[in-house]
Amino acid sequence: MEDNKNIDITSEAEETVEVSEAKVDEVEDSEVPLDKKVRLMSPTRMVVRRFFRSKLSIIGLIMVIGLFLFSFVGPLIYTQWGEIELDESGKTEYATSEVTYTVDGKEYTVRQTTEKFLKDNFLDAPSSEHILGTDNEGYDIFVRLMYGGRISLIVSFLAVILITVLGVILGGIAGYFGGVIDNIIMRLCDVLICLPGIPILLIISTILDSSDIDAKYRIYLLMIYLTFISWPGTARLVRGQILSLREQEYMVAAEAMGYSTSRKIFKHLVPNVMPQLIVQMSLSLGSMILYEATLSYLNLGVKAPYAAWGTMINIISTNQDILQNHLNVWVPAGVCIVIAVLGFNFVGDGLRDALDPKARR
Amino acid sequence: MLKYILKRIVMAIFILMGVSMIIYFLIRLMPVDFIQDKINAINQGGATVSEETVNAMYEMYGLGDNSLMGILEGYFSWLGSLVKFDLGTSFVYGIPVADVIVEHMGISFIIALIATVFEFLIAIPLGITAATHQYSFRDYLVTILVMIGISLPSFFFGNMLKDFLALKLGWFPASGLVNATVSYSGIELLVDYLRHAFIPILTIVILSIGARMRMTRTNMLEVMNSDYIRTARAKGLKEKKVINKHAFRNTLIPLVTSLAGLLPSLFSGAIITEQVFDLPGIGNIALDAMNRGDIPFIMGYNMFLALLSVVGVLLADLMYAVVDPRVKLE
Amino acid sequence: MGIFNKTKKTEKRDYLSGKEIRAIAKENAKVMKRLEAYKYRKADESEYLTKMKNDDNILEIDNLHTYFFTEQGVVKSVNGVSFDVPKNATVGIVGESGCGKSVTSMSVMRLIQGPTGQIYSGEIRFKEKDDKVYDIAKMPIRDIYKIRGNEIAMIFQEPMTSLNPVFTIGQQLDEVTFIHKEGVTKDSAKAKSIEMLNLVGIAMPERVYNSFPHELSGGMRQRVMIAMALASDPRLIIADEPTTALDVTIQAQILDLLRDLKSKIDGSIMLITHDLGVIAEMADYVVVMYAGRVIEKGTVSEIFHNPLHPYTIGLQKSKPTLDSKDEELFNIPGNVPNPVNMPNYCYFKERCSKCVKKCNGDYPEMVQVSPTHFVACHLYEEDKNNG
Repeated sequence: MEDNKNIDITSEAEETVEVSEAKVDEVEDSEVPLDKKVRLMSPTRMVVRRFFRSKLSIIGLIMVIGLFLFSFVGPLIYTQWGEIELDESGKTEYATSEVTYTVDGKEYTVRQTTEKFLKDNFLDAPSSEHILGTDNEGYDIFVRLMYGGRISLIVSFLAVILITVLGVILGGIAGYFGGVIDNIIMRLCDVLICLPGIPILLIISTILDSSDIDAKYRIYLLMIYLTFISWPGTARLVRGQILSLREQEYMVAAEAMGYSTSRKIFKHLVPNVMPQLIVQMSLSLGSMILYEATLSYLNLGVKAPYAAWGTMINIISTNQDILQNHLNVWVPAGVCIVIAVLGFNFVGDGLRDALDPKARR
Repeated sequence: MLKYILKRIVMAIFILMGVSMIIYFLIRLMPVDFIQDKINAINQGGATVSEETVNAMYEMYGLGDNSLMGILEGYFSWLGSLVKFDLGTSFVYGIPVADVIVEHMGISFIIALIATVFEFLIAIPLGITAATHQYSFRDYLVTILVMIGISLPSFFFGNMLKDFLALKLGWFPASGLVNATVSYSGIELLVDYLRHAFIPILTIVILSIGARMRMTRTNMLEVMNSDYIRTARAKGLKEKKVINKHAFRNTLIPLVTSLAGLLPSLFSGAIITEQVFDLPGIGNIALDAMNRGDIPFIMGYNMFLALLSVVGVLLADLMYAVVDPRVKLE
Repeated sequence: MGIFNKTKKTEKRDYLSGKEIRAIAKENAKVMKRLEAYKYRKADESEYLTKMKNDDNILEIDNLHTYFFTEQGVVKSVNGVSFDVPKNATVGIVGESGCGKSVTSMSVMRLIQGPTGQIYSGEIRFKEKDDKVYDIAKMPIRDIYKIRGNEIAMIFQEPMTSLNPVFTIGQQLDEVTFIHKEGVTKDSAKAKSIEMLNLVGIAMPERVYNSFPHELSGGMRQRVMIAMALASDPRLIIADEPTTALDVTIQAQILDLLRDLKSKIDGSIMLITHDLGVIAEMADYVVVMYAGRVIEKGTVSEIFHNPLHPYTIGLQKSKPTLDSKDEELFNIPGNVPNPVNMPNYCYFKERCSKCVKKCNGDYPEMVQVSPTHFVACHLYEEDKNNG
């Protein structure tokens, strides 16, 4: 009995060694246990995977990429018509009128058809010449959709980048330094948030009218104003995040290591705000596109002869015939706006879900 | 409580001061001869802007003196008349701006109010079911509705509805608020109003419902995951009661607060929708006046809007203190 | 070229492929749908009536499996747990965080949040007031209200957030009486609530009755939670780490209170904690859990004076004592294993200092070492075989 036990103990020791060897084998084996695989996934990779698992985010991404290709590559491939190139192939319009003459007490009705030759081929139905037909001036609608997309995307991207830069700097300063500086910046935010959006843009548009600014560039100036009143949202987000991050232990550690202020802000705080910032950016891209379209629709933004989606819809506010009978003139532009906004919103929502550490699936 | 309210009101006044400053300096950016051009254009358009009105405006804004002192003096003289609710006289309408606003804000308010009531009545139950049945078919449906609501441009969607429901199907009148050819009275007049307002209200409801639904859903989800909901379940409360009593009461806090903040803005008018359907609301009137260069009206309308949003923020804050027992007023 | 190819081939996938995730999701959806339907079915009482194994017990948990169907696979949070709660006894459940203690208690209350969380199999037998025995695990959710909050009440870990912030203490206390008692008027409910507040040692019950949760301290709130649990006169109270979030002096008061109450209400307590001190002070029986399984159970003196499982021994050693001369506290190396797709050998193997050859084999069976003492470890199986 006793002897047996002793042997047992030695064999125990041997076994322990074997177990650890087995462990090494296990890791090199291709059949790593599932739990080990899961643990090794990096956070970035996880976010990417979670993003692509949602069907809506993939649809959104396709919409956005599709629009980019359409707007920026499209005009390079489809060069039949230019943005402000009129189709001067001419158009014949027939008008019939009846005139009644009274000659010697007898009435004569004369039916008269006039044939009118017009220089521009306007309101042409879709054909192989004009994929979506022409508008009321004689411009090719399909081509103008592409150029309109360029303006929308460029303008909204610039606006969102500016908003984010301003918001991060001012919000970061307010959150980091606190005290009087915080108070001043936050009260400025309060004031800017109470400024009306479109009505003030009407004033600015009037001011722009008074100074001779190229019709091409006025939309940029209007969007700068929009940036000026839109940064408080981002600034508040950044400030709130920084206030809560400042309480974290690793910031105390950074303090103790004697890091410089800018290093603390840009190396330690800003990367932590990035996820929310990215989400906010992609969602505000959608709203900026809507804003641009609305301004152009009100004839404040991009003005004729240049094309913008909003401007292309503007015509129906004065011309009911087009609203009712020429859907090809205005509906495609509206569809483009919806696709753009929907795309950015889907992507933004997908990113939010993917970046949310509390997400359950 | 009183101290808190007073503090908030003082802050609101300061915010209004800030807003008025920005608006004033914007107007000072306009060249004076440009203003004269606009007045001439209005005069050619049929209306007459009397010399008196124009002079009154110059005096009110202190235009012409471009020195720093002149600008400051002009600002304070304008601020002085603002305090007396004197917004100057509209060029286009020839009556005080305040009167024009008061006259037209009623229509905007009623349309916006009806739309808001429907918005809340539809969005809250849908948002709650989406949250309580997370990841179900209903949830996806609501998510898609939300997306459509916040992605459609109002001018496009409004025109689509107008083209389809009014022009193609002819179920509703396409524009205006009254049928000009027939003179109704009593109940018939009301029905006529409602028929005219139907598509605009439908447009506003569909476009605003998305954001509200998303807000309700997010809130409800957060509440449903909280510990006190688990406690309520552990007590033996039926799931229905847990949702309708314990969870709903907590979800209501942000909803009621946002409703209070929304109330003043109902007077501001939906510029785009009113323009699309040619309604005589304040938004459409303002757009028209501004396109014609009615500077006193632009200034007055912008200050009116700023006042509404400041009051909105104030009301939301006060409401928050009323509905949430955790908020201590000090 | 050849080398390049080879490295590429042997590159290890360190995450689940999309295909695997979809397969898991599909499989999960199938099982969850079945279990959800079972949960919401209508059933006659006879379907879940059963018999106790031992009539002295009030609760018998038998081979309980509670799973969470996540996208990474099935998490077997509770994986074959069995233990009994005798009448008028306090049973302590100890274990590290994530070992399934809370999930076990939530399973008894049927508070596991579906559709992801489900009781997969096993029995939870509970003896009701009029000596009917229900199998809680089989009860449809519509019938659970007979028991939940009424016969079994629960006290949670976080007193700060467990009370609804928008209702007064009174409203939340009265509610319990209204749900579970018949013919209650507003006044009688209030009287009962005040009585309960008195019972848990609140000095000014009238004032607390009318106050909101945020106006009370953490200790006060936990007392209110206890009063709420007592208001329905339950036969079993499940206390899920009732003192963890409180500071030490308040902890002692709450524990005293619980001990007092047990004698007053003539019921049993299931006390969940990771604090061995609390167990030593409160419990009659101890259940030690590790990674979703019971690894040792017995009376308090058995577990404290004669711990058998290496994990229990480690736990004992990691407890600070005043007379100990060692500078450093003992700690058990490693972490609790990831609960997805657990291997079928002793879960503690990788952290154990006493591994034997057998440990590579199947998961050890429960070994009975005394009438009340059980342990699941290969080290003790030998004795059984020899004896």
